[in-house]
Amino acid sequence: MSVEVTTIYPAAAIYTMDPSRPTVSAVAIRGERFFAAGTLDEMRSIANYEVDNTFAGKILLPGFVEAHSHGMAAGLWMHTYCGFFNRSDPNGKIWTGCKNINEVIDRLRVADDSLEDPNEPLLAWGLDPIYFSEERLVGSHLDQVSLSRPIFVLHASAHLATVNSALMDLEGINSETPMEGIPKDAEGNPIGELQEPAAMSLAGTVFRSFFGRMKAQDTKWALGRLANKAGITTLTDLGNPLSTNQTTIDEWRDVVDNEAFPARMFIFDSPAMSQTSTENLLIAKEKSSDKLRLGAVKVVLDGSIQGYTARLRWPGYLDDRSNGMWVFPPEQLTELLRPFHEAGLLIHVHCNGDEAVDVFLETVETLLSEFPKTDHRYTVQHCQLTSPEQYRRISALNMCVNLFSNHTWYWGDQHVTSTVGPDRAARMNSARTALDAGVPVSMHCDAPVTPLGSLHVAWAAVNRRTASGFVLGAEEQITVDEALHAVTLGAAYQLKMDGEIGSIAPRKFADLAILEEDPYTIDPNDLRDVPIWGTMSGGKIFPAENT
Amino acid sequence: MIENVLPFTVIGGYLGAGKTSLINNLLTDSTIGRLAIVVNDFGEVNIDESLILSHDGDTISLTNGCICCSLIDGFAETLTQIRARSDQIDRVVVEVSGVGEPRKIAQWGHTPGYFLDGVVVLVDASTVIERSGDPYVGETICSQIAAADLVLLSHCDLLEDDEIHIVEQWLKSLSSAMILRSPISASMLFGLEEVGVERNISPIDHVSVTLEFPKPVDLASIEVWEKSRPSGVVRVKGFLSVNERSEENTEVQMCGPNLTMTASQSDQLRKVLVVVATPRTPKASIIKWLNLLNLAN
Repeated sequence: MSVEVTTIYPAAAIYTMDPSRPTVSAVAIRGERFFAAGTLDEMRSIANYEVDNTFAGKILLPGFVEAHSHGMAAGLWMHTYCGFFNRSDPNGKIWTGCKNINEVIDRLRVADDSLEDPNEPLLAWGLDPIYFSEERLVGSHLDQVSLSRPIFVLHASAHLATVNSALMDLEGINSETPMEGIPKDAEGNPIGELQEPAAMSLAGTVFRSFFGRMKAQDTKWALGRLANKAGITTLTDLGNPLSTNQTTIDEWRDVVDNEAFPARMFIFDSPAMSQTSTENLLIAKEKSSDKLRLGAVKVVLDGSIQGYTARLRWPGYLDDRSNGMWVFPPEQLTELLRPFHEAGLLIHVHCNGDEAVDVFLETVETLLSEFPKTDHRYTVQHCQLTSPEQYRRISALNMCVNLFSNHTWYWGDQHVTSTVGPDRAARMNSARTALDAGVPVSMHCDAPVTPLGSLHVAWAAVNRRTASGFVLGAEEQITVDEALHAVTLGAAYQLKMDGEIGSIAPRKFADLAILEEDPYTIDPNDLRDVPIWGTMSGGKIFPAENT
Repeated sequence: MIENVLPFTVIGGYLGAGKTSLINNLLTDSTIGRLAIVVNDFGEVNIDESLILSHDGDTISLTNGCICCSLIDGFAETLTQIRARSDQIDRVVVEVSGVGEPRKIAQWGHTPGYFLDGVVVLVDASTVIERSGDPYVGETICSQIAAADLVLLSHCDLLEDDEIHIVEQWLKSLSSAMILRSPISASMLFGLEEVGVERNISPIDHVSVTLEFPKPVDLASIEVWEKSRPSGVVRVKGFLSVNERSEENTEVQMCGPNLTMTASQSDQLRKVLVVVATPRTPKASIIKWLNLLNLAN
């Protein structure tokens, strides 16, 4: 019987994240896995090999692992983007940011022209008026786009929407509407802002259509395209309360297990919402495949810092407002997690504020003293305001952190001036402190909160630059190597997939990020701009050409 | 055709305050009608198996016509589903999670097809003062209390009367809500006395007074009246003709201290208010109070 062919890919440079062989010049791949990593000469003894020079001028890294994203991250692209920052859509088209109200109106006019049915609502997302220096954007601005077509624009925070008069007339939103969260002008008429979900839902069929379309099966494929263009070969959905539901599993399996889908997907459940039992999670875990992973747990403890809903320790928010909110009762966390802990399930907990981190650490201490485990990989998700002493505790408890490093760029300026002030903003997502404390670190984008893009995430941690251009917390900067480790093997470790992905080494899945420039030799300031040629997933090549 | 608008009552309160027992009692109280209970967690509502007619994922149907809905699909979707069967439902009760904000959830009561019919916050009288100092959840507990129209004190049996009194005084410093000791009847909780329907109720349960207002009422009298509420009055419901308002028929709701007036969608012709008050509230004081509305300026 003939030996299966092994393909050897020489490359300009290959960074493996394998400590015993950090750099090589060729990889050999048999089937879905790496057969060898070394030099072409070393590989000449492999039986039945062929050399493929596709990557001869490229730089290869382990495929990036995004350990905190959401399954519907591409769904928003069903609607028109009008955010402040440039953003690339699943087809590779770059949408320039809307820098003022007129640019928002122009963007929406183009979208309006492209809709044939005059009654079809115009749906848009990403609006970020926090960056606009002019007057407040209101419904009458949107009336300049259309007086007849309902328009619904979701803000970047996802907590509010701006709508036009046609929509308000259609859904009967007027001076009499009693709900809070509908600001009104001096004459008592609503200005066209719907704040928080209850008010947004008054947009009725338009509201349902906005979120309904995001669930279309097509958006899963679009997510794969977004990942591919970002060099990402493992995605996560953190978390999905329906993850153990057979329909959900079938819908994801249909896409992810298709060999044309360029990434692996790890779906965490949200048992605080779903009340899923340990047994159901264990059954789901058994249904995992090489590409689709199930049966892990995600819990959200608090809100967000930029939304002033994260739970902070003293001195809290700069403007002395009340503390944030608990999404899950702190005193019930131990009880919720105990059965999952005992069953050995992987558990990640969202803690943006440092007080939420305290609660999670106390909980893990309790669970570990009741039922000791060594290799649990409890992970603090976001972990943004964590202090050095908390990092030492995290290290002592053998826990991991997944930092939201993109915050420095997207909200760093607001954190300095508005939320927590320059001192605590400088220690946000403190990767240096975490690494020095010996804590396993990963970093994420939380797509769609920020765009899917591991190089941007790494760039943010290396440079800590804010959108207005200054360096926030230079002492917390890390090296390019540390940052790239965090978005590959570091993330794989937290998913307990580091035996399969995250580095380039024999036996592991042949997942690669294929770059046009060498991130180790360029100016670290340019890290986020390194062009991505495409990816390899399980030995299959996916060029990122614009489709 | 006038659609059936569903009353929407929010029940909040911190863990252990007794929300679940209250909801279980409501589910089996035949005087309330058919409830749709919206909960975060089916597991917490320990519904007697013999009452369950069917269980299809997000909804449990009971043999007495009540249903219990989970929030897994979110509020907007759940309220749409309940709305679709509004001819089979008389009232919606939403249980807020132990750390949830009742005032935020209450906004869903303004969804078309519903009207907000009170924010009830349960408070464990035996622990609330101590817990209000908890570094993690103290602030949450206090803001829940501040959001209430009615505060319902539970676990009063664990305290002496003077201790309960201290708790009540403390609560008054946080909230303008009406403070009641549980258990109270469902009539009092929801103000179930229907306009124009005389019922034979026990005065131990609650006191109710009905008064007609054949002549239009001034907004100014309403303002005076609103501020002079006798301490025992829990609920007021009914219809008035208000001089300064454009609609013919104004629906009036008072839950604890909070008054709301809306343009009525019903074709109710009788202008009448029904007051529900705590047992032993003198009827004379309620009638005197209602007559403030008849004062011309």
